Amino acid sequence: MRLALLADDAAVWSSRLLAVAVVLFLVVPIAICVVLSFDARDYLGGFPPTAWSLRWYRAFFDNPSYLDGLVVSLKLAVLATLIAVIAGTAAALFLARSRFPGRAALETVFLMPKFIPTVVIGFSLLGFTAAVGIRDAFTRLLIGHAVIVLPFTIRAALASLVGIRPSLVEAAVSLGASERRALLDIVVPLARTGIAAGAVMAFVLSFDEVAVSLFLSDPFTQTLPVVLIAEMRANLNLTIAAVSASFLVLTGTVLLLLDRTLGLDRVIGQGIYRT
Amino acid sequence: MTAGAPRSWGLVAPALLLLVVGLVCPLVYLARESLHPFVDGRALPTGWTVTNYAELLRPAYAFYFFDTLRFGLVVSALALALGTPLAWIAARTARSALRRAILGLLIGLLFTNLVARLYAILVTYGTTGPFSGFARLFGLSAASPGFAAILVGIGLLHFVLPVAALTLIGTFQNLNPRLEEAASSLGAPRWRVALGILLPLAAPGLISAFLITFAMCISNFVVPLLLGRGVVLFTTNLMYVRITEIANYPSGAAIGIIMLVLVFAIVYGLSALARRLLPGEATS
Amino acid sequence: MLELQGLTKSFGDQRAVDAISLMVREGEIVALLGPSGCGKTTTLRMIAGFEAPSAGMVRLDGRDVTAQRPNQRGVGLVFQDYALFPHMTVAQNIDYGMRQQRVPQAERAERRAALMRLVRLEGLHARRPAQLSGGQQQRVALARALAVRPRLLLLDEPLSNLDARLREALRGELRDILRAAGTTALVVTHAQDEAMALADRIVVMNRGRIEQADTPEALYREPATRFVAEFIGRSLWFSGALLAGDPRRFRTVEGIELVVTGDATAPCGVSIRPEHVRLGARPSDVNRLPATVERVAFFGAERHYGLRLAGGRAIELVLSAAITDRPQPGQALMLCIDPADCRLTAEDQRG
Repeated sequence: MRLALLADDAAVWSSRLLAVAVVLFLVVPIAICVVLSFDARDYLGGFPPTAWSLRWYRAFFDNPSYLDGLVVSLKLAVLATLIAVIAGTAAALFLARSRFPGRAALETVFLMPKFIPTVVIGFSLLGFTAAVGIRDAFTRLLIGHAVIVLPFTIRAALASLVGIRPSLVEAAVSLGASERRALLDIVVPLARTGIAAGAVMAFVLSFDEVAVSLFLSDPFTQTLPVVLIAEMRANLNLTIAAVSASFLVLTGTVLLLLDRTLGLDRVIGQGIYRT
Repeated sequence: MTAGAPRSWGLVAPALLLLVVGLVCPLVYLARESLHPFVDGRALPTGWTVTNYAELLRPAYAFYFFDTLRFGLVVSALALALGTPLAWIAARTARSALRRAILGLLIGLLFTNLVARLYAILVTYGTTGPFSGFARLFGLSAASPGFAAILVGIGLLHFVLPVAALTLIGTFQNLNPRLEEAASSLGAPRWRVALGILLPLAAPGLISAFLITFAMCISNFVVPLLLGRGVVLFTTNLMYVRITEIANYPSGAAIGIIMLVLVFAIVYGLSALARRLLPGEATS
Repeated sequence: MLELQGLTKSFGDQRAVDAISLMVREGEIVALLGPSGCGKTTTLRMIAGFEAPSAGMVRLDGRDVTAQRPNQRGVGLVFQDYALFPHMTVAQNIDYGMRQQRVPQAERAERRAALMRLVRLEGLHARRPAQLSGGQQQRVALARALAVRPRLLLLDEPLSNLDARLREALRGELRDILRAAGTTALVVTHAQDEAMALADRIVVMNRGRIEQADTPEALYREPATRFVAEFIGRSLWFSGALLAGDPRRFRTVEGIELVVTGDATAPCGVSIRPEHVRLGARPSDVNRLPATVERVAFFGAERHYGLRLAGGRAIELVLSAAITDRPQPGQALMLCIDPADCRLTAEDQRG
């Protein structure tokens, strides 16, 4: 009996240890990268750095291809998010309030891009847009990014919408509002948590997207991850570390915004990372 | 609100348009392209052939598929095993600050650029990094090509662990704590409770997490690209190489179609199978 | 001013509401009373316009509104869960309907103030629904529905979301508010005490049909069917049949013979209100029933007695705890009931 209790406790403590180990596993490389971004040396030397400097950050902001990539990525992310949020919220409104035989199938269709490998989306778009005469790289990239993030905006908006009691809309209608008024006055404001969570997810996903961007970029229009990859395959210089560390600042800001406005607990509830 | 046929098809039109233009038509195009012949280093726009698919059955190519699947299985299993303790703590802790910290960490990782994270891994486990000794645990040197497989495994884990853990948190939060309490009050030690009560109830969610993770692994492109050192190639990389280096678009298209079918079959097929075998709570 | 003609609603081959016909006069408060599943809420929703009838007609002030959209009928609705807009303040909630009617700002403020006085919510206009108690939320829901001056007010189980004590306290208030507003009102409820406290007339519904519609007193004193007798107040029911040739003598299935009053078509039974059963009988009394006391339970102001009659039938009586000569368990005694209190009542039709 005593042994069983000891074994029980051991199990609890070892699982806690494992959890800590996993956290360290995930976080330490990033921490090391951030530290190295302040390394004053010319080369990738041993850890920890012997001298500190901001040279790599200056190199980042002085490098035109990085900056161009940043601008392209930002523009793309903002526009793709806008498109996906509008189209996605409208589609979610439709799905949340309809009952007809094909409804579940339609929902599945909208969630499909999630399951298609991004290389496939990228290449198929490359061929198709070329075949129909869409030659502008930014337009191609925009279509590709919007398609990829659409499932997330729909899912997130839907999760919020299904939580809205139908009696609220009926109350608005009984007070004289048209259905459209009721949607705008009642449903959309109450779904704003889901819509916002979807928007944030869409923005970040678009910003991080690699495979589609690789296929659809051209020498004049490249996203930041594409630029990074080209640099990484050439050599592992520390400017990349500075860029990576800067990404963290972006991530941290997004997280803080999310927590302040929506609360992280509720973001989880939006199911944006689920099937 | 009277239920029935919706009057507002206009709401769904923009999304449908986007899907048709951005997904459906391109995939149809892809399917057509996969059936075109590739002769003398050039893709011919006419004529139909299935050689592009037949080619892929040869051992050299089949190997890539199996390798990809193997990585997917191993990494997914590891991700579930490693993610469970963390997810359990987050789901069950009474301290909301701890839960928010874990959630914040996981979501933060999800949002951090994968390329940046892979760079961090390269720098950390590479020849000049502080963990370069890690390779020696496997009898390899950090510079050797054999180490690439381990690196890819680490990279994939970094990629899927946050998602797996978040999915598991959702599953565990849906498990009624009263059931554990009832079992312990009846005398069952914790491991029995875990195996006999929690595991069966969490099974649909666990399977769901596994499938998501698996689909993410085999569809991934960047990790083998950056960490594979040319030694480890997934089918995604194979597709990329065929297209960009050899300009064999039909073959690339064929690989793409096969991957499409594969991922769909795995996710939908296996989850339908799981639902059949495990009646009870819906998958999370 | 409200008229329902043959209103029917079927779901598949299930008739939730079966050819209901009803008239409600201007200014009346009518309760739709019945157990869950009897079709009362469906009827309410058809009147409001959220459910389309399978057959029949709804008329408001003489006009057929059956095909009209809910936002055009001028029918106010107070929902069971109040349906207050969580992202709006109390004032904004109450204003919502008036805004749809394009009521100018000044008048809106006036009406809102008057309504908030009426429902006794003064001072709470800046609060959000989440900051209000259940009773307060219910009053906001009322004020919001009344703000648009509806010609008919529909209330769906207005008190069922409140705890028992509050329900009793608010019942009277709700009736006062409805009376003061003077609006015609239709209240759906499954609680008979609520219906009796609120309504001028009660419509008892069961399985999609109207069993009886009358004032609370008439329903209690002269229930038309067994269902009404047992649903409103408590009833001791005796099944059986009239003796052949004698419309005044009834033989129950337990073999008890009773002298009864009233007419009813067969099949019928006898309904007796428990408070009409007397302890102790004089030789001149007609319906004398020997009984044995089986158990007694003390409930403060009253005691509940479980008695067994000859023939095996068990009944329960409630007597004031203040009586001096109270029966003890095991005691045999004689009960008697006046024939005027033994009412012949129609049995329930099956199906």
